[in-house]
Amino acid sequence: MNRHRPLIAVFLLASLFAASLAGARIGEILPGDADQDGALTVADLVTLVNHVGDPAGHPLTTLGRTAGDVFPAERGDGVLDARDVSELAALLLKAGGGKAGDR
Amino acid sequence: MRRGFGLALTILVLGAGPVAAADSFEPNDTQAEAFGPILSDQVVVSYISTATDVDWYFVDADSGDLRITLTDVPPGIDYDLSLIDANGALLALSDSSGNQDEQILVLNGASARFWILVDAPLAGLGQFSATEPYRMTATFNAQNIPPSVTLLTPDGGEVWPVGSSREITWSASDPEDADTVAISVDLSLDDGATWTSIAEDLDNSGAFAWTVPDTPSETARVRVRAVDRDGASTADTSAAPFRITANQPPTVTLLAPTGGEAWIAGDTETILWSADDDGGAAALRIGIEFRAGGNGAWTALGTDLENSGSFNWPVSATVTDSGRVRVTAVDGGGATASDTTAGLFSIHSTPLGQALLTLESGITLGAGTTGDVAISVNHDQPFSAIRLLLGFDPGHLAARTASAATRAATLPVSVDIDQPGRIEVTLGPSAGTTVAAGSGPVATVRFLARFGFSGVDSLRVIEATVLDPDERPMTLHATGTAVALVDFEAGVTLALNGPGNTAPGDTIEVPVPMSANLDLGALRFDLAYDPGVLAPMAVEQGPRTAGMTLASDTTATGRIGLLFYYPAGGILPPGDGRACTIRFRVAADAPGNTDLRFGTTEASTPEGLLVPVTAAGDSLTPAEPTLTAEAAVGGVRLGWTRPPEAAWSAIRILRAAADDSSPHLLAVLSPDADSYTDSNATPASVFRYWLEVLDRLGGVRRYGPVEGSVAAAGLRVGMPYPNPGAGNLTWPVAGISVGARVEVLDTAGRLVRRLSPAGRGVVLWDGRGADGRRVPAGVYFLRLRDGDASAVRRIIRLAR
Repeated sequence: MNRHRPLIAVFLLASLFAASLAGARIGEILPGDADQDGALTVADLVTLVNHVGDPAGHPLTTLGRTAGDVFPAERGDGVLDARDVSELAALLLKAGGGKAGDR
Repeated sequence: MRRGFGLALTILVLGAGPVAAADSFEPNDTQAEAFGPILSDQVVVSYISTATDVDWYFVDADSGDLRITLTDVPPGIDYDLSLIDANGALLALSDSSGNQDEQILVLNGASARFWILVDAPLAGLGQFSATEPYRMTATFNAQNIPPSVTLLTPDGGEVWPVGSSREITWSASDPEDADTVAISVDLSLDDGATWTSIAEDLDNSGAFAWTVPDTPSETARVRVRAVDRDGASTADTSAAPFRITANQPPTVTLLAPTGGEAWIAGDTETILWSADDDGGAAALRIGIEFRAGGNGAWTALGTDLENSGSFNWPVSATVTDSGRVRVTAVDGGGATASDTTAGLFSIHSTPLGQALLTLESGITLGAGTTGDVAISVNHDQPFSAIRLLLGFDPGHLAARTASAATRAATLPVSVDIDQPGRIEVTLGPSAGTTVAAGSGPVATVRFLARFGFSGVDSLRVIEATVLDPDERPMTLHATGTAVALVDFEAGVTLALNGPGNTAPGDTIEVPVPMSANLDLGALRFDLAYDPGVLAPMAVEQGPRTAGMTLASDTTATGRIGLLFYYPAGGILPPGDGRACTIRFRVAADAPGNTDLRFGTTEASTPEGLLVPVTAAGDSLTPAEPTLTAEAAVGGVRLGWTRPPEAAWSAIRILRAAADDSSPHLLAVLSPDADSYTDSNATPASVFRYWLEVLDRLGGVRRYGPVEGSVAAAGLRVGMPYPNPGAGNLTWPVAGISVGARVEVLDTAGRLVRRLSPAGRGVVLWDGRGADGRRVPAGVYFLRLRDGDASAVRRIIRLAR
């Protein structure tokens, strides 16, 4: 398998959707990156929402569960629930500042 | 010791004897003419000189042994030797073929005369020689002939470890005693100075098995002695010293099994090893043992085996998954060494089956869609568990779920997609549960194709294991598949639809329509605005986002972040419509336009896939009067815009010198006025002007300042034409210098287009901005600057 292709894909997604890779390095867990694509986007929110609503139907990876456990901030509480969803929504709102859509 | 008297004949072939005198025995062609008596040990040298020539001799032998030898038979010629008594009777014959030596031995004979005949049996064929003599000797004294002995090993240079088993070998003979001699063996540890007996009265077997004693020596020798029945003896000693060394333990390495083997009970498997020892690998004795389980007793498979390096073992019927074999080597000194199977091997009762694992091929997935890949196992017997690791490209495909299919529905299934690009699926094992033989899917893995990719992605089987009902690994062949990806670009369009003109202090509503042709799970965007002009008040969900959770963040000045999603699960429906409405308040003192712009915009499908978003911003035009000042001949002409809904009661004009921050009232005008000329402006001076508006409630708002100065005397400008208009516009100008500049400005004072009037009597404008696009309908200003002089004309552009 070409191990570079996923990284390229993430880069393209990040470019298209103003997802920020800043602070996400290989080997680190990006808080909120529930779908483990290396970027914090609304896709992470949807992934987490789906999992909280239906854990069996929408399983998360181990890293995804760790990254999605954002409540309370900085350390998590080991449980994925609606509070993590709300906290992740807040993270996403604070992570604005991209240029997509600027005139 | 002498045996009983009698005549015993022995014919031997011996080597040549010494040479004596020439032939001088003829005539001796008959027994009566025999030459003699021949003395003991006399060498007779003679010839068979013709085809009919024979030679007769006689001896008067003493009692005891008589030995007659014929040597030096000419090359290519066969001579025979006969012993004859007085009556002509043949007593003995030596007729070896060819020109071999001949010998006749008479043991323990009585004292008597014997006749000797030498003849050439093939003389008629020319096998005789008158030039090359033969030699004949008779020995018949009564003395005993001692035995001969030669020590073969050890003969010097050998290194024999203590305790090793060695053979001392020799060669001994005593023809007169039929080689019946007694052998004794001695050992010297000091190079022959002193001797110690090892063995006595041994048979003349040529070898003696000797266990090397624990007496290391660098100068050992062995002596072997042969003693005949008459007590005559001969000894031979090692030609050089040999070494007796201290014993070292052997080395042994088990080569097979090494662990991991799956052997079937009753099959013959080969146990292999390699063993060596300083006393010689061949001297080692080997023991082989088997153990089932980690702490069980060892069972001997073979003991005291030769060090052949292999042992064929009919595999034990003990079914185990933790079998080991141990091989032990023992040398002659009792030192041992062992080696045991590094890992564990298994023993099974029946042969293992085979399984073919395949992934369903021919899958075509459109971007953003999910597809199921079936995993089939074709096998000839039931199995209890399957474990497989699939590899894929996470840039193209996202692993979602896996589940047991019909044939394995009774087995528990677990899925691990921790590793990007890999998914691990395990079915079973579950005690007592098996899947029936046959073919068909046993599991299904669901993949999601990502947006923006097309082509073919491979699903590969990285690892796969299938266990039979006894949970033994089956021989497995695994194949992958390919997924064809069909590109599809989904998208969402966001737009701001703000009102055109608003009055200061007004509350305005800006709807955000969203166009989407697919379901959305979440929508997020940041809206940027000018906080000096607008202040966000509230966000209301639109029909398309009703029922979703709306989160907002306005902590960043000049930005409002919005996020819509369904915490309980749900989707935004496809189609068009308003997503939300944002309410702003227009600042009371905010002149000019402001932009509402999208910053970050994102949307995601219910599956969590990001989709492209196109966002278009808008601008607001707060309804503020726009004050302008232009140079006019003899004064400064002021002009201003007037919002249609403005309810003014009076207008005041204020002026200050350029370096004076305190304006003073210049004029009070009626609320309908839209221009004023300051005729008192000092030529060549720059002034600042303000416009103050009094509303009907008594409020006062001040706009400005703008700068203005008196135009140069030579500068003259006319009125633009047509105004209002939609096509080309003409502005008469006169008296301008080469450096004059003409600009088109919008109501916010921003440059729309720069024109070039130099050398012409008019300025022409085609109604297009600097980007070549036709400017939107609205109010614009033409401004001419020529040194210190300037002129401004207000124009209205109509839509075409």
